[in-house]
Amino acid sequence: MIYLGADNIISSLGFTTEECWNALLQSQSGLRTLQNAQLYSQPFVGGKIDDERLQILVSEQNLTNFSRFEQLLILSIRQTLAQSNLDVSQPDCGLILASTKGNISLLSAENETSDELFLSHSAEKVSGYFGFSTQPIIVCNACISGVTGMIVAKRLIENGTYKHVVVAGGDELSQFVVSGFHGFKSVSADICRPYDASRDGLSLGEAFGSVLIASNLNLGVYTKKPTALLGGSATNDSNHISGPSRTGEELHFAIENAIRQAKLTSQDISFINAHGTATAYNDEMESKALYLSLLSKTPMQSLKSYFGHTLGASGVIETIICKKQLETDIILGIPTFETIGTPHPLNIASEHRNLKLNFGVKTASGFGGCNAAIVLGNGVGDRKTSEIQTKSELKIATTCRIDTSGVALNNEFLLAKETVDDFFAFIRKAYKQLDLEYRKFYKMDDLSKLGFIATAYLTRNIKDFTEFQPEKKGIVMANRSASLDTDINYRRNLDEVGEQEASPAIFVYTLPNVMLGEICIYWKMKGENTFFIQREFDKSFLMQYAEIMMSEQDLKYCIVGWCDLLGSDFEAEMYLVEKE
Amino acid sequence: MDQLKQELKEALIKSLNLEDVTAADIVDEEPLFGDGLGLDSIDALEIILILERSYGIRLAKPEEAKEIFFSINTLADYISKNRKK
Repeated sequence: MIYLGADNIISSLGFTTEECWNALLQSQSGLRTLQNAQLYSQPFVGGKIDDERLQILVSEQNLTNFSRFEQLLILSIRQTLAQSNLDVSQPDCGLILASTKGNISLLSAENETSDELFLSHSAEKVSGYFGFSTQPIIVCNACISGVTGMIVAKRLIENGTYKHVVVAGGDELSQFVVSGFHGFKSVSADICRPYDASRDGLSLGEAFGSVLIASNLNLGVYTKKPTALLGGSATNDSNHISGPSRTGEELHFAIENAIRQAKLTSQDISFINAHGTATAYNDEMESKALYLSLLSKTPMQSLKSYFGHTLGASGVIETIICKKQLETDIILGIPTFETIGTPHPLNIASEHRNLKLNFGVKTASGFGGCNAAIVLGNGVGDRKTSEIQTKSELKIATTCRIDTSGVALNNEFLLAKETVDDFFAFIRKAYKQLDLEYRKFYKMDDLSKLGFIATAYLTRNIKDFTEFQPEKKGIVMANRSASLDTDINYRRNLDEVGEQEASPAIFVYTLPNVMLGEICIYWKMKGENTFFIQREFDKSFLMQYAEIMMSEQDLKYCIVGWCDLLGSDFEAEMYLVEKE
Repeated sequence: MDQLKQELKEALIKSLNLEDVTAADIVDEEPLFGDGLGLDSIDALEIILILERSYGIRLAKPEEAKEIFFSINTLADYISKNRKK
């Protein structure tokens, strides 16, 4: 069994899990009206980490050579490790970092391509600080990043790669992100009100969290009631890159798979900690998903009115709070909740309740149409969870390589890139060669166009690929620059036209997994998606991970590979992997 | 009015990256969203920005825009009645 051990949360509610938990017990919110011109020209409600206190810790720990993002990660992981006697230099100890935007606050007109803008840079610095001997694994999967990090940890422990993994998640409040969400008109005027009839949008927050995940109970602080990570699954809506599913079916699939993997049924679930951003469409979708999962009557909550939406950190810190609830048999209410405002009823209270809690489901959903669910619960005794069968035969059906020389499919050169052609002229020729007719193609950012065209080549000779069962088609991909190319565009746009007029159509592509969302929409793929950041293309890791995922989630097809683009440089090497 | 419609079509093509579409392809009374031009919620946010930038019209919530953004006709009609520049 896989357990959740020592942990830490740094957020607007405090610098330790205990501080945050005590604030939650008193129904305090970390959200305030922030008047901070560096974040946004207008006052807005958000959750900010106390910078004065941070400064003291930074000088105490001598962390001035790190960015604020890295400092907060280090401070969080430090506290988690301090509660255990784990030797992180052991080869069986891993570090997983979940973040959507890393050092994005350092991006400026003067600083567009320095190494610190790459997530690998931060991950390596943090890993080096603690002396991990294994390569850090980075997950960049929009707002499900934290939950995905848990799933990755579970699988890599189960397949024997690691015995212990530290999963850390973090994202800062930055002008970049705050402007982007304002541009989407999705920021609430007041503290957000998840699931309430009067909800009017989300509140942003910043947080950093870390948790030790291990296959034995002898490390870290475990209570009499240890919490186990029993199941996990992810899906894609195949609907829209920013709007959630209209049916909730796909989040429901993820919940159902995770519960089945935990060898439980919906009746065993004591509570649900959902994403609950308090945007009209997200909460509506969740109520539909829970209805389909037969969980409408199960006590549920969102923690967004306490912490705000903490993006890549949310899955980590909210999982830690689930663990606290399981340990204490207290289920937290949503203090801002008054009247249900979702199409299906939900079991929400504004007050905390004492309830015997055995198993909880944590869900998340994000841009790119991604959803994830994990099942946490009572780790007493030797409950057998589903084992991963890795015996299935996988074959690479097709290989596509696109780079500055042109397009090659299965080593056959199909299209040369003329030197006079820029990326757009080249990719347009590929689009024409493929005889595609898809208006949305031209709206995509360049990274998505590249991944989209590579997928079109990969699948064009696969009979009925699009029509094949959506749930059985997934994606595992990685790149070096995340969405930096589009981040630079958005930053320039922001500098040029200002916060009020910065383009939402650019901002929506400032997450690399949105490319996966575009692929899933066109080819009707609803299976799991995971996006990793790697300094160099680690094909064997991605193939190994795809194998685990395909076996565990019962996928027939998986698109696996690398797709990177920055400025005039680009490289895609993608494989269509098929289970026979 | 015709000039405004033409201006709008050109602005949409440019801001919404409607490659391979010309102003003549956009029919005044046909729906812009869904089936018609295939625009979506992100395009709606961009149109809100066009209204602010070019005509000084502020729409607080994208939901208000549904009827106004139905077609070039409805959009032009709304702009001509509410424009501040």
